[in-house]
Order: sequence, then structure tokens, then C-alpha cells
Amino acid sequence: MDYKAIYYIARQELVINIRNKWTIIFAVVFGTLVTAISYFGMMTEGFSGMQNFTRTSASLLNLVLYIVPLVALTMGTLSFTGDKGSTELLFSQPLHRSEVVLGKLIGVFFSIALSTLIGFTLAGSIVIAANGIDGFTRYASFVMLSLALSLVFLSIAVLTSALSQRKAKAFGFALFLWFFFVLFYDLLALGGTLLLKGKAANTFLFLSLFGNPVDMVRVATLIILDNVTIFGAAGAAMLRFLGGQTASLLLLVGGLFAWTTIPLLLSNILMRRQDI
Amino acid sequence: MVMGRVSLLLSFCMLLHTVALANTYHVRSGNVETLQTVIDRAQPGDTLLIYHGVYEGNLHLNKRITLTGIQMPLIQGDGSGSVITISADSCTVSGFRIDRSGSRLVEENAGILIKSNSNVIKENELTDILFGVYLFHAENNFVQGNRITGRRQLEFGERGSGIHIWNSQRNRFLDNVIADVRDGFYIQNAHHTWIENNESFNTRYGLHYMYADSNTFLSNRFYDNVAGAAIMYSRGIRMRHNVFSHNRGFSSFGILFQDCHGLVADSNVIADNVVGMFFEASTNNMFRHNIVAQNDIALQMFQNSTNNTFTENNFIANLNPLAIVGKRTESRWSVDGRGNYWSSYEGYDLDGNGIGDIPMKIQNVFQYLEGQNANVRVYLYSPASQALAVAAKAFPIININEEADVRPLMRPFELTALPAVRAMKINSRNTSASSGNRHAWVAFPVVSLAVLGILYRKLSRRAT
Amino acid sequence: MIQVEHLIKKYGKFTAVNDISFSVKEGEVFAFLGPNGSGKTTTLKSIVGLNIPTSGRILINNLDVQRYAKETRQFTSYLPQRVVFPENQTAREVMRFYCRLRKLPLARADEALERARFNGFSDKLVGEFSGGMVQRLGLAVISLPDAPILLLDEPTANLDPQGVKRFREFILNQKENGKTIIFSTHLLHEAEQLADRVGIFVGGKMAAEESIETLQRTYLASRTIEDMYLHYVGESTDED
Repeated sequence: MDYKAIYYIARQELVINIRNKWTIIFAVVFGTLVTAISYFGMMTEGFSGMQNFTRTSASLLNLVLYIVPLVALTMGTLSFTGDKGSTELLFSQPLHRSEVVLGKLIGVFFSIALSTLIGFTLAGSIVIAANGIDGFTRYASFVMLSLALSLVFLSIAVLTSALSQRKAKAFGFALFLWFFFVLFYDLLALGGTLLLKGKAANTFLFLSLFGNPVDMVRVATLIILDNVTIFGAAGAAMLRFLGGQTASLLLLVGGLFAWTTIPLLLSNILMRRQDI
Repeated sequence: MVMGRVSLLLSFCMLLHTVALANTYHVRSGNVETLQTVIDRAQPGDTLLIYHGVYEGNLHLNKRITLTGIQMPLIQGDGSGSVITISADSCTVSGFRIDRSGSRLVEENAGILIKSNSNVIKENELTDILFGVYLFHAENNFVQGNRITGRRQLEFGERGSGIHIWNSQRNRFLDNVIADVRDGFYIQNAHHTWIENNESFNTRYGLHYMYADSNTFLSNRFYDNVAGAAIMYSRGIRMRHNVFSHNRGFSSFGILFQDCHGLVADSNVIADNVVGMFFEASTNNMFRHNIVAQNDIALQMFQNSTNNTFTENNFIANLNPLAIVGKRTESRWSVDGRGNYWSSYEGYDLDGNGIGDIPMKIQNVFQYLEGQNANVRVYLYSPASQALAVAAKAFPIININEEADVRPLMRPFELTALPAVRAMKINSRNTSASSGNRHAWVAFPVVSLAVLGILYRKLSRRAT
Repeated sequence: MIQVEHLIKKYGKFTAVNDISFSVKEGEVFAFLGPNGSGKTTTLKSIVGLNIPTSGRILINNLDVQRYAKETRQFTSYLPQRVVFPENQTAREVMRFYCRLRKLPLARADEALERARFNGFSDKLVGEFSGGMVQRLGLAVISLPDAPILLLDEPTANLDPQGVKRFREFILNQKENGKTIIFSTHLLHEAEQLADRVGIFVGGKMAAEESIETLQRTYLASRTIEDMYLHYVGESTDED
């Protein structure tokens, strides 16, 4: 692996994205939304500071679950189905294809990270100002999980770009996947649970979480923000199924890691036999 | 081990207004006699003034006697049985530190075990005890201002209760603070009990309550417990101005009602619990002017809980206002044209009478599914669950139950008693914000924003 | 230096390149001459390893391009047809980026810009460039690494006469420096002026591999370039 070249490609990609007006628009919109959510969440008169913190973070999580996959998929697709004239030049350099892809992936990831971190920091400072530092590590873990979510969907974007090759097709694919993971999958899982009975229903329900990175981030974040108790009896059942709180978190994070690496490995295999 | 030697200073005094001749003894630590010997020698009606020091327990009060601690003397049990056992009526124990009881649950090993009537237990501090104050077939006692701290190192199941009331009527409990015990109050077969302004935290149940009728709860705080209160098999209870908050655990609730009938709950705060109020086989209860806020589930009801009435309550920012196990509850959600305030109500009030013009459908479809299979809740906060709720509202194809408040209030009910409730400490001890170094943390966002800004500028500036 | 052996590339049922073999010697300038869709671009991209051949093999300095893709690309510098650069970067940033990728000192980027007479345009954004300027930047980029083999796909398409002239200078200059050059074109006179040898592409086949002198004779015998192509495919021209 030519780490230097990967670094240079990543940096180039980051610079290109940062100078792109869409990235700036995204950063501003995201920043405004999360700041507004946390401001109104924390400033409303509540009965418990901790509950305000949890609810506010959960509202932020809700926004993240919609927006981050969408942005990661579109920015990823944009980047990985670029103009022929520039991709050909880049891939004709003395580098492995995987190095180029990895560099671009890291670059796009950091541009998403940078533009979301501004919003997260603003929201975080409001939360800290209102609630003190108690929730700091929890909030930080939530931010980390949001970034992990963007990484997962970037690597999914790499795979869909490799599969479809053409930009329009890849965009269609990406939008479909967004709809599928954010909305449709959960509806299917809920529906499936209602069809099944008893133990089978619960096994299906808990396993179904691992089929969707959006759910994994959601559950992991809620566990970190408010312990599993937020799921009530379902939380206890889930912990019993997965083997405790630490084990659950490890499984979820491990699952996210798998959701990042497996699409990348698949696209690597695919791209090795593909024309650029 | 300190042996409680007692110095005895006799002084006589004539009580002018009583016929009986009563003595007051001044007791100091450090002499040959034990406190028990002094008690044994005293006559009924005598008063013992006991000065600061360490005194050997256990004590048995078998005659009418007053023990008054001066500067919190310590009475230390021998590690078995109860530190003080009262078997005579009309005794007073006040101003002591009491510790080291036995550890046998079945033998009621307590800080103070009361087996008689009309005693006064005031302003004592009980630590390292299995039970705090145990009322065993005792009536008309008055227990006020005691601090009871149990054995934190034990599992909940191995601890005793803070105040244990068994088969005892007409007792009064005021201003006690209870922590680290199994149940703050355990009340069984105790009617006409008055419980006011007590506080109970870090316990399993703040209040554990069964087969006890016609009791009154006023201005108590039950917080940071596994469960706030479990009220079972009882009738005719009145609850006002209590706070049940921060009770969080897998199946935690602010209040659990099991087989409870004819209760009136007025102006209580039930906030930040996993389940605010849980109902099983409880009927004909009345809830009025309560605040039910920021619970994950506000009300969870089995369908065998019927004819409960809710009026002019404020349901604010609960994740799920109502979970029904079964089909319907036949609850009355409004009385005389007055319903409740629901912060999730999206209706309107065109005629401006303060009552929403369209019914508040209390459950959304996701919450309905939760009732069908509780584990569906792992999809909490998922976009799908919200989309489902919105879709079901727009296209009501899925026929969920018809629990509805037809007279929802547009604005929260103004609680005149609210300031009193607010003044109570309802913030959690375990999670209170440490504001000490908050200023230092303001630096964090400033620094990180600056770093991000510099990075941003550096990357976007053209290289030359 | 470059050997192409029985190169076949199919896209589904369509055969883009049908059994092409040729070789290019060191220091030679070789032109792919043929109409659009005749397989020139596919062949070039196969040499750089951008396209994966269906069968056949390509050797650069006796190294198999498919097995040693990264190593053989050290020897080549490729200019794609209609090259594109990120619009929000300056010419200098683009040059420096490719400098870094090729592990060259950054000064090389500034030298190359000067050599290409970019002057005031060096720190302008590519988005403000004309098509000709972009092409010039492309030539500057591929001349950066001093790779022994230059591969250019339709370098003069979309160029104004001045650009074409500049390109011609570029090729002659590189040839003088001993570079091996392959470029594709559909203009006969360009091939004539610059190439030592010409491969004539028709319908995915290399119909002929001629020295420039032979080619000129054939062309004189036919009237148009289309006639010449047909001559190589071996069909009669009697329809007129």
C-alpha cells in the first residue's frame, strides 16, 4: 500500500469537496438544523436536565439518521462516478486501483466529517452550556457513531458506483438504497415481526437490526445516550439475546465495521475486473 | 470496641402540672454502668437525657420512658437483633445516631423495632441497619425527621425496608429521608396511615404497599429508585403533591397500581420514569391535575384496568402517551367537558374555548404495535416508526383502538399547587449536572470551532 | 518497448478490438489512425491498464500490463480524450498533486508550468479555463513525470489551430528527448506530420501497420481518407 499516495488523493478529494458549494450548503443547513434542535430541546422548561439531554440528543439522532446516509450516498456517488476525463487520468497513475479508491473514500469521509462536526460542535456547546459536562462522553460517542454511519454509506456508495458505473444509474441506485435502509427495511422488519409468533418473532426482530446499519447506529446511540432502559422491557430482552450491554455495543460497532469493510472488499473484487 | 460506660447523675425534679412524680436522669458515657441498666432502674414516665458519646446497645424499652439524645450520641448495636426494641406504649426516642443491627431478615432486625403503641421516634440517624424503623403490630406511632441509610453493599434482596409497617394502624410518618434500603416504605395491612413529606431514593421500591386502605400520601418524593411506588390490593388511597421521578430501569415505573380501587391522585408529578404509571386490574381510580412528563411511556394499562378517570392532567413530552396491553381500557379521558393537556396534540381550537375541536387520538400506530409485541420498541426513534405514524394519520387504514380524549385541553392546566411541587427537589441526585468546571468546558466548543475553522481555511485557500 | 499480442476486447456481444497485434520500438512515434469507434481508444486504455482485455496480452518493457499494472504504469504517462480537471483547483494545485502522486519534487510543477508558458494562468481556477487551456494543462501534467512512454488519446480534438500547433511542438520536443509516443487521431495529415509509423484501425482491427512513406503512397492512390480506409479493409471502391 502506498500510504503517501492515499494521503495525497484523500487530501485532494477533501479540498475539492470543501470548495464545492454543495458541501458548504450542506454544512450550513446541517449546522442550522442541529443548532436549532438542540437550542429548543435544551431551553424548554423540563423536569429533568438529563432527560432534556437524552431527548435532545435523540432528536439530533433522528435528523442524523435521515440526512447522513443521504449525504454520504450522494457525495460518495458524485465522487466515485466522476468525469471520465479526470478518473482516467487519476487511475492511469502508477497506483493500485484500491489505493485510489481508498484515498478518495477517506477524502470524502473527511469532508463530510468536517462539515458535520461544525454543526455537532455548535449543538454540543449548547447542550454542555445547559446540562453541564455530564453527557459529554455520551454526546461524543453519538457524534462518533454518526461519523461511522457516514463511512458505512460511503462504502456502500463505492459499491453501487462500481456496480452501476454510470452516474445516472448509480444515483438512482443510491437513492433507492437510501429509501430502502432509512424507511423500507424497518417497515419490512416491523411487518415481519407481526407475522411471526413468540420466540421466532423476537429472534427475527433482534437479528433484523443487524441487517441495517441505520438501525445499528440508532440502537447503539440510544444505548449510549440513555442505557438500554429507553427500550423498556424490549431492552432487557435484547440484552439477554445479545449477551449484555457491553456485548451488544461491541456487536453493533463490529457490525458497523463489517458494513464498512464488506462493501469495500466486494467493490475491490468487482473493480479489479472492470474497465475504468 | 467501645464499651458504653455510663455515668449517672441523678437529679430530681418535680413536674408541677402532673400528678405523677417523674425523674430526669443525665447520662454521660464513660462510667461503669451500661445504658440498659439505667433504663432498667428508671421508673415509667422518667426521662433520660443522654449526652454525646458512644453507648452500647441493644436496648429494650419495656416501660414508658423518654430517651433524648443531646448532640447526637451513638447507640451501637451488638450486631444481632434490633438496636432498640420498644415493647411499652408511649416511649420517645429522639436525637440519636443508631447503628449496627443484626442481619436476619426473618427476625425483623431493625434500628428501631416497635411492638407497642403511641410512641414517638424523632430526628434520629440510622445507619448500617437491616430495617430502619419496623412497626410490628403497632398503632398510633409518630415517626418524624429520621434519616435512614441502609447497607448499600448488599443486593436489594438482602436488604430490609427503610420503614416497615406491618399489621399496624393509624401511624404517622413525616419528614423522613430514606436511602439505600430495599423498599423505602413497606406497608402491609396498615390502614389510615399518614405519610407526609418523606423522601426515598436509591431503593428498589420507594414505596411498596399492599392490603392497606384509606391511607394518605402528601408531598413525598420518590426518585432514583428502581421503581417509584408499587401500590397493590388497596382501596381508598389519597395522594397529593407527591413526586415520582427518575425511576429508570428495564421495567421501572413511577407508580404501579395493581388491584387498586377508588384511589384519588391529585397534583402529583410523575416525571422521567421508564413507565410513568402502570395499571393492572385497577379500577375506578381518579387522576386529576397531575403532571405526567418526559416518561418513556406515560401510561401503561392492561385492559383489565377499567373505568379509570383522567381529567385536567398535563401529559407533556412523553415518548409514548399510552401503551395498552390488550384491546381497550374503557378509561374516561374527560369529565364535564374537560379532558387533559397532551403536548403531542396537533388539533386546533377554532371556537377559542380552550378545548381542542377534534379528539386527541392517544395512541399512534407504532405505539399500538408496541402493545402487540413489546419488543417492537427496539424500533423506537426509527424513521420508519415515525413515517408509519404519519401515514396512518393521513390514511387511517389500520384500525387501531379508539382510545381518545374528546375534550383535549389546548393549554396545560394551571396548577395552583404547582409552585409547591416545583419547590421540591425533583432533580436526580445521580445525574445532577456538575456545574463546577462548566466554564472550563465552554473552552471546548470555542477551541474545536477554531480548529475546524483554521482547517477549513487552510484547505480552501489556493496554493501558490 | 511495447508489445501488443492478439488483443481482443469485447463488450457483451460487441467486439471493440478484434485480435490486434503490433509493437512499438523505443523512441518511436506511433499513430493510431482511424475513424471513431474503430478501437483506438480501447487499445490505448488497455495499454495503460484502464481496460481489462478479454484476451491477449500487452507487454511494456517485457512486463505484462495485467499482472504488473502498477509497475508498468511507472513507464507510461497517459492523456485521456477530453481531459477534465477539478474546476475549483488552480493549475498549480493540479500540477502539484500529480507531482506528489509521482513522488517528484514540487519544483518540477512550477518548472513545467513555466515551460508550458502558463504565466498568469498558473494560479487561476481550472473552471475559468478555455478548452484549449485545459488541454495545455493536460499536456503539462503528462510531461511532468518524465515517463519514457507517452500515450495520448485524440489530443488535437477540440483544439484551435494555435493549440494544434502547440501540440505539434510538444510532440516533436518529446521525441527529441527520446520518448516513445503513441497517439490516436482521425486526421491523416497529423499522423503524416508527426508519426514514424501508423497503425490503421478499421472496425476494431488494425488493418495495416505501415511506415509513413508507404501510407503516403497509398493515400495518393485513393482520393479520400475514407477510400483509403476501405482500401485497407480490402473492399472495392466502385460504388461512385
